Amino acid sequence: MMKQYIVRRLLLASVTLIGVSLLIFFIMRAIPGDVAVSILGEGANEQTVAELREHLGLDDPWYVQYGRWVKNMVDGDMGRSLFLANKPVTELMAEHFPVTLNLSVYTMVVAVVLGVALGVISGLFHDTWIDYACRVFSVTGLSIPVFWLGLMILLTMVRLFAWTPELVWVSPFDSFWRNLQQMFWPAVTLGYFQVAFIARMTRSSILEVLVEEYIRTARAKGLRERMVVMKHALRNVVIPIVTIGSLQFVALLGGVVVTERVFNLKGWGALLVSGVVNHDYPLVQTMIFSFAGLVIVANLCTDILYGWLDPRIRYH
Amino acid sequence: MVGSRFRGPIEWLCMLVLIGVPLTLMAQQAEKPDADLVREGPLALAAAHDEKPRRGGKFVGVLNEKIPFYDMHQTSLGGIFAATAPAYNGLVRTSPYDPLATEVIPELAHAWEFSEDRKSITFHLHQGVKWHDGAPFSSADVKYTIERIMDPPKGMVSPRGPVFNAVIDRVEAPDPHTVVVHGKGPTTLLLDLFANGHNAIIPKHIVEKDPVSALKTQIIGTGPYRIKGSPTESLWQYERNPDYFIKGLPYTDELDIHIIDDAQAMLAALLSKRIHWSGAFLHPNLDGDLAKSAAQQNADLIHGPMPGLIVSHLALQSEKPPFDDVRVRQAVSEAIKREAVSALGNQTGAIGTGNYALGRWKMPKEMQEQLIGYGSDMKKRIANAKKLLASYEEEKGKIDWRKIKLQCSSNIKFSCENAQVVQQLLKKIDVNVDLDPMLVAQHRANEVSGDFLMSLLGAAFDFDDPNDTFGQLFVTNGGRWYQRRSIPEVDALFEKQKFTADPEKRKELVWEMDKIVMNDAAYLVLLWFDLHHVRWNFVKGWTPTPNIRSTNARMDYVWLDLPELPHAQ
Repeated sequence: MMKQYIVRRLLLASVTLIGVSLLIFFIMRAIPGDVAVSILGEGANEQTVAELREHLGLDDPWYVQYGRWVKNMVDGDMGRSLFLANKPVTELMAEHFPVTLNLSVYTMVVAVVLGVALGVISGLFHDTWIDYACRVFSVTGLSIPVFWLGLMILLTMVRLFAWTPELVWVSPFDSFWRNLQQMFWPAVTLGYFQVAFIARMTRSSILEVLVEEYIRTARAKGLRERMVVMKHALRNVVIPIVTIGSLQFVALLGGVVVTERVFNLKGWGALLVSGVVNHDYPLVQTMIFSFAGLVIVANLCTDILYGWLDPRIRYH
Repeated sequence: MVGSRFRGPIEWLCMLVLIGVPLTLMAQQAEKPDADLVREGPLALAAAHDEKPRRGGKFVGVLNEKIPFYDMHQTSLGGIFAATAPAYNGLVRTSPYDPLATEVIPELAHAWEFSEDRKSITFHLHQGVKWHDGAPFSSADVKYTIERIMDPPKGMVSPRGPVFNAVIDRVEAPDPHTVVVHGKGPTTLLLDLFANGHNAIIPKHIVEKDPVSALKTQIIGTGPYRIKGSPTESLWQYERNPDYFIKGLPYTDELDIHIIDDAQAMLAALLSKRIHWSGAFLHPNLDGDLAKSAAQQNADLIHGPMPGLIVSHLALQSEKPPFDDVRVRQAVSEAIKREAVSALGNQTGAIGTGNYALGRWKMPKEMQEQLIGYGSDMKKRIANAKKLLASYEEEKGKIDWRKIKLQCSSNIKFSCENAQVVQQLLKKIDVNVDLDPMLVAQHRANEVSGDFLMSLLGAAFDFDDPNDTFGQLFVTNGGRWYQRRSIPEVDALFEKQKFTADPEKRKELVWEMDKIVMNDAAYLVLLWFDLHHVRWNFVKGWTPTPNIRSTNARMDYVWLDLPELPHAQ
């Protein structure tokens, strides 16, 4: 049953991916602008632009360009950047991925730890001043623009301690402490934004779960309240959190443009923005295509995880 | 009693000699041109400019744009120039202490002379110069470089090729240490061209293996710094070239260049001393207010505003109505009070015409005030603008200004800010246009393809010479001929001035061209705007220049005034 379900989902995914490839191909060409102008700089003129376009193969009809891209991908060649020295797109993505992954993981740690804690406290003390305080705190994170919060953190650090995070990414495998110092504030900036979703979801789930009969049974058995919450309530609250969390995590992997820019991190967000701004078709097409693939895989994994977390869920 | 010994005439004479002789010698030294001083060594040049450099340390710089590839001959992108300049040399360069970047001093060529008819120039090259890979440098490299710029291989676009081809006829390398460049006529440009940092000499033995792509991914020059490892998107690291042919340079041991594209993030890094300055290639969004407020946060920070060789322009597409009629263009020009753009916009600057407003070719004020759009009586100008529009509309019908958009770049701060000022100024002649903000990549592409009616952006130049400014902006099919207005008389005057050796006669021709294009009003020069630079006070040996692509980006004369570093000997 499970195998059939996965095969069916994969077939649907391939149709989705073809749609995505066509969509992104045409959207990129619909955006006015020219990679040849980006390469040549302000000295570009009609003649030099025309020469470069011809050299880059941008004069070919759209179906030739699309066919070339699809054929190359089927052959395992994800293309080469037009703007960035003809570098393979996969190489560029691999270079930038560790930064994005690093930031996404830290952000999710901040978001989940804070969000679940605030949600549980809110749920347990619902309609008291503690609940209100937790809700105001988490919703504030949602209301503050991320770029503003990031800039304020950065400028406060400069003002108070004449300190800013390191300018070049330090791998946690080289120095975990320096990596943590560098990524802490970007992760807090982004994580705070995500907290509200998780906290609200946790709070409402907790409120639903706490009136369930098995909780009453657990309490009737004489279990301590901490055990009731940790062992019986939280286990059932986890499912919606996993759903939200995984979607947020995938969204983070898609690139966090503003935070990367403010904290000078060169992740996938920076790479994608550069590609869009400079009309680097192969780079943007391949990146968006990969994100789409990633979202499909993440959704599939989430569904499978549901089954593991809640054996009552069956695949039809 | 001791004091009385100095009262006699002999003692006074001795004192005069003791003080006077060194002062005279110092004065003589100071009067020497920088080209002569640098031949005595970099320390002599530094001393003449009251500097006592220290040696060693690491200078940490910054750039504000992505570096897509490393071959500066295939682009005009300033970021590529500034990132790679420390690795290369030109035949000559401008003095690192000249704030106007016009005084030419030796680099790979230790001497040069023009032929009597000034139609050719001979460069005598330093001997014993090595490329970073150890191969010897020779005149063949120079010949190859010039010919590659003039006649690029298939698949390579050479943005400065047209300028080279307009001036240079051919190049010869009679021996390994001599290069002769023959011009198409008598012109000083034969020297100036090679003082432009963008025209660095490249290694023939590397490039000829793959003429289009070899330098896109590697950096091998003769310059003061060698690249360390592979540059990343965040950081370029250089180390001192131990075989550098100018002994004593560079002053610092290492040079790091971080890439930070956000102006606020860059200033935060500067304030926390992660970087030492705001960059050799200045940030387009670092305006006066931002730079000043950053410098105010610490007394050890220096803010240096500098008038730049950059214009903020309003291009009117002269192939499309209504701007195909000179009356409409002149009306727009008359309505725009240039001083207001400087006062109300965020980017201050100098009011000028097609020639650099503070340079040697600037037009006299009284002559400038006679031009359309430059008169001092605004009431008169507004009345004239309204009259011009009425005359056009009577003949060709009413202009629907609602359909005319003023394009500006939303990610280049001054562009849309100045566009807003222009929008308000045009209301005085009952012209209401809407702004059309877009990303600069799209905006510039529109300017190049002529897909606009009104466009407000900017253009930077490499040197203060009409051959560059007019050759780019006003000559038919010039590099930045965005307004697409062909004026045969200007083209003819341009060719004539190009090969006029007498500076005064040339100036007259240049002003004549300038008057024609300003009155034609297809390309409106709003202002030559100021560049803003912030640096820590221990950064010495750096002179900001109007030319953002000056050879000062070489960084060889920059030194750190830190007490732990010894003075250079």
